[in-house]
Amino acid sequence: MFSRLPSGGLIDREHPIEFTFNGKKLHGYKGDTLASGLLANNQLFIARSFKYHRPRGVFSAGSEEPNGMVQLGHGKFAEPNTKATNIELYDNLFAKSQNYKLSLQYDLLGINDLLSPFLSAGFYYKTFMWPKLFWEKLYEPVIRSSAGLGKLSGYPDPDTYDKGFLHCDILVVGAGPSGLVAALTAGQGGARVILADEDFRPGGRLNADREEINDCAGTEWVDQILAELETMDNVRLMPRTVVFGNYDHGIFGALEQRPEARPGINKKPKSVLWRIYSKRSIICTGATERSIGFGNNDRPGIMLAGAMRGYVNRFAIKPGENTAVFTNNDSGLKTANTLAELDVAVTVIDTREDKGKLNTSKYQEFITGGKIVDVKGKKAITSLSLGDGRSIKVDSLAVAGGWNPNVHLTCHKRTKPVWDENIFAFIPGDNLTDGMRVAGSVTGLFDLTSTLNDGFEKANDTLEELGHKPCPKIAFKTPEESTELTPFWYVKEAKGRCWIDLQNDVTTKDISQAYDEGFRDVEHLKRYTTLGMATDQGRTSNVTALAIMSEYTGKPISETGTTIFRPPYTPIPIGAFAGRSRGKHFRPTRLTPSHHWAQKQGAAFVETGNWLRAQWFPLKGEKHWRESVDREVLATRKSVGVCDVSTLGKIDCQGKDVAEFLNRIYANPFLKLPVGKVRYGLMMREDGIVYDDGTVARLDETHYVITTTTANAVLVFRQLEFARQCLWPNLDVHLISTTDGWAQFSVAGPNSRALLNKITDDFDLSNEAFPFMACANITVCGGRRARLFRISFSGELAYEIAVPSRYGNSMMETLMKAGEEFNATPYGTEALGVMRIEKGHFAGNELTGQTTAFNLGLERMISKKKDSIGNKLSERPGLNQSDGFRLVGFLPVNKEKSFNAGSHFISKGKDKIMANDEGWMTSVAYSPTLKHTIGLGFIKNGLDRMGEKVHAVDPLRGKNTEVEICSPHFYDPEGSRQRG
Amino acid sequence: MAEFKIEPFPFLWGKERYFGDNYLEIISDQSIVSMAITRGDEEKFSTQFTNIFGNPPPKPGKFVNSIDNDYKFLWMSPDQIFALFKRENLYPETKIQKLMGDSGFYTDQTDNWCQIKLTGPHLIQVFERICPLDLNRQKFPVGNCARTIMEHLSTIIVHDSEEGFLVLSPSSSSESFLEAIEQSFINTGDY
Amino acid sequence: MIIDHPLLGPRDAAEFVYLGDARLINRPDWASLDADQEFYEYLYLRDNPEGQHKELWYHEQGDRSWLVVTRNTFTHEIINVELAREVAQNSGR
Repeated sequence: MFSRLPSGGLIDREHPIEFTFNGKKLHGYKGDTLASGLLANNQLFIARSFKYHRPRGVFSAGSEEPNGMVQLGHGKFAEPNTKATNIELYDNLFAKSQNYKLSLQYDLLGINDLLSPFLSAGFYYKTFMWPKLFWEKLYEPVIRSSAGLGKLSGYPDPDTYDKGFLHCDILVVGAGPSGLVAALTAGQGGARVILADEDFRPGGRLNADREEINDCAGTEWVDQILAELETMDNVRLMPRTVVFGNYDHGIFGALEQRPEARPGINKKPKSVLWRIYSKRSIICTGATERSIGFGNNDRPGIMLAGAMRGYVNRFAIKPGENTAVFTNNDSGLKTANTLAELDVAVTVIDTREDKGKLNTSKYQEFITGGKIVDVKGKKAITSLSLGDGRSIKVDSLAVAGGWNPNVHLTCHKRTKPVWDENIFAFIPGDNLTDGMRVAGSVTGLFDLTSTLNDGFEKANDTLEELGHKPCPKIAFKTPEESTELTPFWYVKEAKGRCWIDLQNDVTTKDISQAYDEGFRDVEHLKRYTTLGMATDQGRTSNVTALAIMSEYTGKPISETGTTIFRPPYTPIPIGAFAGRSRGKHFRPTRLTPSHHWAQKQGAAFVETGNWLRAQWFPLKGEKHWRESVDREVLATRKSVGVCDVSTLGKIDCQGKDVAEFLNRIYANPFLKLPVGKVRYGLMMREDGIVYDDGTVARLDETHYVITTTTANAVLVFRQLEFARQCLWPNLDVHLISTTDGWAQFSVAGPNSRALLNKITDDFDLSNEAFPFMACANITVCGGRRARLFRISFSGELAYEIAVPSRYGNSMMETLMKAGEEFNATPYGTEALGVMRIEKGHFAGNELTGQTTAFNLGLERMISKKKDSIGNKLSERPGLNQSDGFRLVGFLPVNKEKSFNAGSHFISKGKDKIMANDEGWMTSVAYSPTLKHTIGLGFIKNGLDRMGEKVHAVDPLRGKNTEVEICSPHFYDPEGSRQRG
Repeated sequence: MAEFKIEPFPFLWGKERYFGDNYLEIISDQSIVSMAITRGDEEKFSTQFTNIFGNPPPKPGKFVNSIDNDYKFLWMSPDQIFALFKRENLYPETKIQKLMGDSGFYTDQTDNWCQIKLTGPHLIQVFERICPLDLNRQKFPVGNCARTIMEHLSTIIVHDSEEGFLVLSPSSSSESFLEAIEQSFINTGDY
Repeated sequence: MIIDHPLLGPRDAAEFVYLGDARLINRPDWASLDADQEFYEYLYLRDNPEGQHKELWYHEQGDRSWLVVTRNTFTHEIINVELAREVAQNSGR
């Protein structure tokens, strides 16, 4: 029976903590992990395994944990698959086991264990092949409900997460002995240092082992170093921070757990995802212990020897009255020593034949050349059987198979780890990039003195490289330590299955089966057996599996190599990557200048890119959006309507050479645009495809304002800067966006002039003084700055008036007030769209990225007397075939009928199949002016087919409407209204 | 004479507040004018600038004040500077143009930006959550300014005093920008 | 990645927009006799090697400079960064 020792450990006995596990109230202390809290309460069996639902207990003391996964929290706060070994115990923590049916103790799916002969490696591929229908209906649902780990809560994640950016000269990853020395040295040398460690208590192995440094206890030495680091302004100590990935140019990803976050109690972010920019890094990530394969070596109560040492020393846990250590190396003997100092009977089973000069008197028994072949005890170990047939009663068993350096971060940029014949494990390759160094046990140095010295030296080398003065040598005095190991991977004589990957339930038999079936490459072995997958990524199992496979293939491990290491080192919740960018905060919102006014009117809004625009303005009693939109269109055409069009991109172009510049940018000519005039401009990409369109207003000799479509504002600006800097660097042209600076309103309709006359300051708006396509700097409302453009998208007599954007909301109010006598009507993007379709103007729907000027009927706009972007390649014959797509209008033959955008055109009498496709409908609206549906679309050779009737076929929505091809200009084709 | 009036509604009006000892102030009485330097007239511009404002134009990544401190000039790009000064009317570019003459081109930028002034001891921790730049005192001392991206939003950050930063972000998204800053305060302290 | 801007020093690649082969600077003369072929090659036959490459990057969330970045596309090592305007002028544009 496991219990808490009456004294000792790094727990705070002044701060008891109550927590709940599987409905039971338990007690632990501040400084406990959930795992140590459970062990102290003799909770050994805490989980069911992934595939066979075998009882499992805590196996390790860190993020390598393959077994001890629980669901943390409940209801919508429930978080599955958290590692009990990683959770810092807190008051009222709530956790429960996962992956069982009925109860943890009596799991119905435990039957999988009995069926194991049928569930071996590759069983999915072999078993569920046929009949095909069974896969979806039977196999998959059954597998899904029985295999797997925890369950998601099914609710949106109520926790909050944050992100951030940190900068340093030297990032030290891992605060074990070498990391602490490295950070101290780097800090003393004057570098900006970040020291990150995934544990909430820095110290690494010094927390778990009983070491001495300079005649003081290891844990005290850690406290001294930490105290010193805390006095340094240039050092940032980051406990609870796992550095999970190494990216280009010294950038690291790290996740910091924030202990002040209490889900459901406060809204503090649970974690911060840091992007750390480092000039240099020192990787001191230490090593992870590996196990040995023997029969039923997965039973609760069996754990890694280093972990057991940690539970005794750090968490003051007594692992029962009778315990055993199974080891192939000296580190296992350290655990045996620790245990022997307790009042516990310890049996040591060393696979090595020679025990050397070791004093074995303190042990119950010391067996050399020993092998464990089997273990008894289903829900917790009760005894173990040796190769010689003897059985020994135990409450726990520590297994020491050697140490694997945590090389992960050194491999993320594809530096391959190399096999070290001295420690029988992989160590980092020597071609590390971006100023990365490795120090301590990650390099394969396992004795404390070497580790400390290495941390010091690597920090000093780094300091020198960065131009800092190196620090004077620190001497470390530590007791002598032996780390000898004779490789021993698994017991061949084992009775029962030898578990290698505990998380994925992979046994030695699965590996031999993979070998037999030809899946011998490391990557194949992984995919075929699932070894090394899931949340622990095989940290306790990979190397052992490779060694076993290497035995079969006869190829040395140094040749087989490892699977590729990719970030993240430990699982990072998706929520952490999303940070604040969720829901409403997924992207920023851009508001139009009249947004607050529109909100008061009860407008319906639509997202267009980041912009929120008024879509229509419903009046009381209007039940359907069409009622509002139809009214807005008719009111505008009848009298006057006002629409906020500030979202259009506005780019201020100034300079001596702007005319020449714009002439090269736009397909149509711009050299002779007079001051006070606006011209429509068509912009192409270099490949001759239409990019964007807009207006160019010349306000002054050297001052132009161009507009872009809302969607393309950023792209056009980028393209213009490219042209200005890269193509024609000597032109005097200056660009600056003024999109946000001006509130711009379209005032459209026969009464627009009369309305504007009421707010402009003595400005002659007559057709003679200010004709169609005129522009001017003016003032309104008694000297307020404004710009006026006589342009029309609606086809009516129309103006666009702009004022500095902080006046926008008030301008909208004033236009409506001044317009009362004309029944001025605000209109939204829907009415805007309807009117542009009635007018036959193309817009985003028509610009597909494949649309040419020819398709739009604008081929004659491309001036052939000058160079302009896209001019040359727009001449390609393929883009100008006479039977190519042409933009035309469509109306229903039966005016009662409607059709949808996206419909495809098929000639009458032809089968409705893709081969007969002749084009598609791009934009559709109900025209309240014409009182029937109208559409724009591309159809082959359209201009020569006026009056022809075709089918607009929409198989997706089961619609087929007979339509007539007509001019795209449904409304006022002569344009007399806009010129009036 | 028109009988109708229009009134300004400054961005983030009334959103000033304290976060502990830190103060978030909305600046709405400062004009911004972009100054573009005519190609070929760089020297003339520089001389003219120095004569009028008493200091040479800002170097990349820096800002300078005029000698009388009435103007602050931010380096924006190799041929563009932003001038910040007390708001007088709706034609701020005319004022600069009159001073500088024809060696440059000037555009009013005032209403393109919201302007937030942050002062207090806790700002580095706040910016750590949204700003990719290294604002360490040695790396970004007073006198530095930079344009970057915070929470998907274009931002100009100006280190204009020992305990203060001026930040500019596009006016249309100013409410999202303010929320980003406020959230950073909330996430890094008990306010 | 980090791009060492020639005027502003190291800045996160997130501030930049990528375009591609820096030969896009060498836009052909539209009046050339072989302009059709030259424009076709200019636009469609751009390099995209594994290894060292000159690329155009735009400091959109910064000073709006277009840069010519010499970068190893395999290791991501950045060898040189220049202002594209100067590269263009030096190449006679």
